[in-house]
Amino acid sequence: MACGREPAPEASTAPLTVPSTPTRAPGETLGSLDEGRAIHVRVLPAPVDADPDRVVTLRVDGFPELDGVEALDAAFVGDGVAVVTTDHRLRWYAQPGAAPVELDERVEPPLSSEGTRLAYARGEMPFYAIVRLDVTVGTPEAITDEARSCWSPAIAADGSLAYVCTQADATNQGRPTLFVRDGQATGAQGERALPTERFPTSPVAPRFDGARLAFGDEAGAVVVDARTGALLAVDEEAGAVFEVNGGLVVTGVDGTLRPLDVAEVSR
Amino acid sequence: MSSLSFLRVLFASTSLVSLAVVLEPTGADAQTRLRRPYNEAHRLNYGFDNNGSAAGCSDYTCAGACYNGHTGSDFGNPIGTVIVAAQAGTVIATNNGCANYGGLGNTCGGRCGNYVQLRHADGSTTIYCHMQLNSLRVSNGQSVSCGQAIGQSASSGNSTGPHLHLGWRPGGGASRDPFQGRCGASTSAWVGQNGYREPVSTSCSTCVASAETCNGRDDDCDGRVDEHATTERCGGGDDDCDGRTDEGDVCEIALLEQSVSSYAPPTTTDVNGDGRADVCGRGFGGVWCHFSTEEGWSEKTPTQPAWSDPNGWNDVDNYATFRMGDLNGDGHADLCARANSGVVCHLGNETGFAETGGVWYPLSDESGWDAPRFYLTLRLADVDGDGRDDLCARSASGLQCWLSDGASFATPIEGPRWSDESGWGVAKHYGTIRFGDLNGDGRADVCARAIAGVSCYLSDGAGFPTRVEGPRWSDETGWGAMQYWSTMRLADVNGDGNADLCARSASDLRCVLFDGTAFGETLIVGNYSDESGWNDVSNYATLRVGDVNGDGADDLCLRSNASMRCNVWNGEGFDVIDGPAWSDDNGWGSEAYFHGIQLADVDGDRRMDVCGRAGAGFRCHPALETEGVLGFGEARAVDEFTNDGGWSAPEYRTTILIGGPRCMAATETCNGEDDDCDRIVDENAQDETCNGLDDDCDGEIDEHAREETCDGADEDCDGVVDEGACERDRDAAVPVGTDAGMRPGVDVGMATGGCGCGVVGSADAAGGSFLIGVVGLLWRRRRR
Repeated sequence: MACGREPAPEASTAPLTVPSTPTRAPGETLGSLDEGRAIHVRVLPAPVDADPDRVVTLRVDGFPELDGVEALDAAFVGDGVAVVTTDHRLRWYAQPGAAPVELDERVEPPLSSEGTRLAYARGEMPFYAIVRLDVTVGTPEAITDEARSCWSPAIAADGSLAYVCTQADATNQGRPTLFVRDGQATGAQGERALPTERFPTSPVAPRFDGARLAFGDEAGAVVVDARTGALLAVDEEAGAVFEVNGGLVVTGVDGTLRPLDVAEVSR
Repeated sequence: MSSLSFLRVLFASTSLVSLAVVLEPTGADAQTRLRRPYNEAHRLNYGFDNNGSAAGCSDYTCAGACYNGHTGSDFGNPIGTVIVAAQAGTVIATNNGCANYGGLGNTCGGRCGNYVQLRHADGSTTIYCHMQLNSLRVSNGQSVSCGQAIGQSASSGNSTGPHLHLGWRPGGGASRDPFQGRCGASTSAWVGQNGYREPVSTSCSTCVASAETCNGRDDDCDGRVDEHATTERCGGGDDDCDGRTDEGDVCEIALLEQSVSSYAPPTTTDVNGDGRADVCGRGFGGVWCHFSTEEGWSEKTPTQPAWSDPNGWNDVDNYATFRMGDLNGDGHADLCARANSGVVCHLGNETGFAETGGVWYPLSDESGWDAPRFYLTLRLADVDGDGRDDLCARSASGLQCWLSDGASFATPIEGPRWSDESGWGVAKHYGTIRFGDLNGDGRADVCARAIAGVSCYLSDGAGFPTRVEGPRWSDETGWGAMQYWSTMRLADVNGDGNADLCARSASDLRCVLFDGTAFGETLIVGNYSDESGWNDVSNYATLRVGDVNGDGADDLCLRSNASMRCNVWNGEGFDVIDGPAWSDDNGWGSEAYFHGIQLADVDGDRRMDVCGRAGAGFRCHPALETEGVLGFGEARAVDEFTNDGGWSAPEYRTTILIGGPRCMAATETCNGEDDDCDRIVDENAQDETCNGLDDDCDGEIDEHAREETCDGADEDCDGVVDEGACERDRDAAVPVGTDAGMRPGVDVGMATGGCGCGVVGSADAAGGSFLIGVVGLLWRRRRR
């Protein structure tokens, strides 16, 4: 057993059907992909040497009323679309043509969605709480305290969460730490820190199935074992990570979708 | 007061209170000043967005060097620039682990990348974002000094290129713009803010922030000294931060503005002329009165004049000048006050005040009459003895009066030279001006206290030519203190027709008697000393003068902590009579109540009653005599001038006036009354004669009448002499069988002495009518 660790689970042997790359307009990138539905985004120009919001214009399959709308992020949730507005409000369009319902404010992207559930950060830089919300219920549930600095949550089908928070190390300096919270666990005892040095920082939401966490950071696309923290895959040529048909795909440099290249990670 | 008026008063009162709270300095207002958080001369690239959630942005000069939603300041620091603490503090949060180049939308470190957050002495925090991986030189809980290196800059987290993002939260609250400007902060958070987007100073503020206090120093380090200073007001604090407390007569002026009825009582408030004092006051919409009736009070009169708040009458230099008296001698009380343009008067009548009035004399704001040392000296007094109250006031050059002609204050006369130049512009002098008839000639004379003591001047109707030296109540002997000089009153305490001078000293309440030409004997009224607690304004400021027992001598009433008490002249000294229980326990120690205590005859019995405003409304306790013992009866209350109606506000309650009524001089008749107001009753009484009149004014007519005898006199006062008497005598003297009716030795028709009357014929019709008229008046009990 290399490095004293358990071997990585075997990659699925079933052939991964990679959907065709959704048609993009010039300047667009893929914002979200869900069972054949896509949200395309065009990132608007931003001042240099600054820290502005990442503002995009949307093109959402099935929601023509959102074409060209400026937002911070959008994700399919349930039969509808959730949008983070440019003033950090969370709105949900339950179906095409429906009037939006405002669900929360001071929301920070990215939005992670699974079924009818959303997970996101809420607060003011850099202090954000992780919030979980079922759009059919409509009541935001703060999972962590806003006094902490947390970001990039990912929600699984059973409501489990993965997210990053700053936590003081042995030298009493804060360090980004990846946490997982299983199922409906609540309170400080409910989260587990993962011993990994890679953690999500991409403006595109991570993907979490309860066992694996796939995300993008400054160095590429990463898959981490949500039980052990072990690196399962790294693709340094990849951008955002998406889940399709139970498999993971990434956008390449040219923006096309391809399966995530799994590389053995040895320590 | 209407509901709307009440709401306006309540809103105004509430607003005033709220403002006062905002102005109070708190710890959170104390501000740490910041230095530049690096040493190089890098400029501000993008500032704080001051336009809130609106689209676009405004930097601190309302220009566009910012971006929408930016909550900090971006400085153009290349990667590796050493970042320093902008002020001393404690490290409360750090993050180290983000890549040096994050890119747009990067979430690392909650978008802030690698960062350090400090808390400073005033509770504010600063945060330094996008720093270099593994460059942090501090850890959580560590203390840092101003200018101490804490890391190096980069472009970690959500960043489109190397720069330092500095966030500032004053008081630990929301992020704010540290730059002072039209659209930014009111005060710069920097020790030295320079030109637009130019590098700020690197100097560390040595100011240790604390709550701003009134001490001539910038305690809260915001660059301003004593910025909470306001106009000095009476309260025991140094509001204007000049090192002095309650200076400039602020307390004296406050007292004079609230206690008008103590030093300038109305000569009469009998508006409808029925011989009973009525009560009037100014509400939000104007002035109205309640007439005193036999059983209580009338409904309110029409609201006029319209001296309302919207018309500016809630300014103290207007509402503190309300005066009432009889300006035209018609027996109806009239109302005057100083408007901005001059003294305006409205004449009283059976239904209230006339709707239209006019400027009776131009004591205007423009000519400086809105200064307290002038407008507080306004008085109404009959200085020429013509039955019409005249206007007097002190100007910068001295006291002046203007005689009323019934339609204006037409004729000026000069008074004593109590000028600003000679030191009369301070309250302990101008606040002692008192009017009263010292020498009993029917003309109001004037007294006031100078540095060396009291001086009085007698009016001759055309001026005040005669000076009379008063008691030596000097500054040197302590009379310059408000608790003494403010209690000066002119009162005829011994009923001799000459006003005497009374006041409370440190040891007692005393009166110095005036004999018509000079002040002489001092009477000690009672032990109203400082030692026994009478130096409390809620007590000493309640001294009121009036004849409560109707004996022609003024009595002195005050409020103790337990009740009202009146010192009543008994011919040799003073008896103390307890009045209504207007005690501290019942709330009467509040200035909203005790200042409004007044004496007035509300039931027309020529005895002054005790009146005042309680929270539930206005009431008077009539003075009455029960089995020869003087006391005060149950309250005659009116549901008016209540706290619920907003009347606790000084601009309303200080205008409530009741007093008098003035004795309306008429020809003295034999009726047991002082008809000619000379304080002598029935002075024309003579020995009783047999004339069908009450010559001796004892309430009986021809009481010496007896059975007619045959003596030439009308003993039975029937106007016929010896009628039947001689015949009766003759009959009595003649034995049976002799001539009847002849009394031996009695000549028929001889006039004799007897009642000393001459023979008079039968009363003619006029005389008979007069007799009936006199009889009709005999029901009044003689009291003087």
